[in-house]
Amino acid sequence: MMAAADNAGSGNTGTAAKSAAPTRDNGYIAAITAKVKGNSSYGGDLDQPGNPTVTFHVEQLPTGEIISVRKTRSSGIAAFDDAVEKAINKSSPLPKKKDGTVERSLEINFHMKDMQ
Amino acid sequence: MKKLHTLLFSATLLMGVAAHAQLRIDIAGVGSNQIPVAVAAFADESIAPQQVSSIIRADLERSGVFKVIDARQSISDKSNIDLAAFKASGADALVVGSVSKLADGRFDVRYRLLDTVKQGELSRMADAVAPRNTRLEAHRIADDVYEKLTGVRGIFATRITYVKQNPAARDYTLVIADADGENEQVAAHGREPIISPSWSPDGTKVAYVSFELRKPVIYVQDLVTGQRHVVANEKGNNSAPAWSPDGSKLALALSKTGNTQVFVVNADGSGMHRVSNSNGIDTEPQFSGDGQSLYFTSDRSGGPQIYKMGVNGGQATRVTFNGNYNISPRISPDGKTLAWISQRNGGFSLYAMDLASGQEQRLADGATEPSFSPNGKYIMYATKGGGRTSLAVVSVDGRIKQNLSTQAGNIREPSWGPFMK
Repeated sequence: MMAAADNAGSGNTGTAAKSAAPTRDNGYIAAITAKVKGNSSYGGDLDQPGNPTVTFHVEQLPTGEIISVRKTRSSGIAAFDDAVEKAINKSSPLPKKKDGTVERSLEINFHMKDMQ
Repeated sequence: MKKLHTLLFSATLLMGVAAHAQLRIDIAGVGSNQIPVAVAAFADESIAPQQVSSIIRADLERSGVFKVIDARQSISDKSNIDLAAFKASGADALVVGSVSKLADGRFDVRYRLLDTVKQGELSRMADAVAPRNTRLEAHRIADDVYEKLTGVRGIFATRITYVKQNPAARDYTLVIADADGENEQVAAHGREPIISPSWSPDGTKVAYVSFELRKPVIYVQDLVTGQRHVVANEKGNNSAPAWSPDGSKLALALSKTGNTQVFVVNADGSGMHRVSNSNGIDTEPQFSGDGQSLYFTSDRSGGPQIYKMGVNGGQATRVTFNGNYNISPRISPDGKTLAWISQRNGGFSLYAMDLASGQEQRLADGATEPSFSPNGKYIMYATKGGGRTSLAVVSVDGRIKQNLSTQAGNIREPSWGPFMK
């Protein structure tokens, strides 16, 4: 028992971090992307220099219900920021992974224009 | 045992921290450029002469700015509404309301605009209206929805004027209608042409050119009293009346000196004086938004081009340089955009220019006689198709194009009326 505790407490931090870090489950990412994008609407002028991007930090419960949406970087266009925030809120509850779990924290970067 | 617990606890802590690393998601491109709005039938709306919710739905759809979702049920403004269900249907907002009859015969029309995402009320209105004003009230509600969701004042409750004509039958009518082409009223009617109607800034009068005296004469008609007076009946042609933004003056094109030149006159016809000064044709004057300048069409450099001069005349600067045939200048209410008709590649097209940058954009082909909406977001114009002339509307960014509800006959020369107080 002591040995097990020792393993868990010491040298295995690296392994534990790796297995708990988000693996790129592309199906999961695609499902969230589709839902948020599908819920987004923006009537402003898309003819902007570059590709304005807004970043939100999103927290969700294990049920997929969104409990926090926090803007961490503005696109510089307030109306676009608002439209994206609304799209994220409209998408609650977010889709789950195939195994029924969720990633509790998301960083969503929403770019105004489609990337060619 | 305590050491075990401590070690297990710290292990859990480390695993917990690791699990909170963020998953990064990149999304590119918005799903839609239209705001989804659900509109419910208003409770008891069939007791009024017009179905309020259908007029609201048609207005919002026609604007091109909304994706209108039929709520498929009647919802009263007094109901408790499950907004989460509407959010799940994809709507950002929900319109509900009711109509009830008052003892004096008027209708009490009530409406609420609800935010399905934030789950709160965005707006409400309640008005007692005469039965014949049910349509107007529906337009006023649509304007409120438009303004609350876009931040821009709506134009659904505005009116337009245009000329309906059957030249073969020598039949000409100056018509006043709602902005959607409904509710037509006759302002003037005759056997000789009527052209160039221009709505006064306060919405109570229309200036126009009539050939009833067998020559073009400019009249101003009071829409409330039906009375009209002559503003210009000089030798030669009297044409192209345009109101100053404060409604005190009209700019005109008169050929009394032999060649057509720009004049300014008081709205009652007094104080006429010449403003432009060339040996050619200067015509189609339009006041700038601040009333300090006049845009006009001139052939002083050969073909017709658009120029700008001070309201008291003087040096004129040229504004259009592309193409060799540019006419019919119109200035947006905020003074920032010039719309005009340009003949390129054989046809007439509607163009818009950002006056600060000079950047041009072609908005519509086969277009003549443009007129800005009072919120500056749309331009109405005459277009030919199917053997007749009719009216169409294009948004100033060129994205949205609509044909006006097609009345029979040839319709042209639109002038979009102002916001009513």
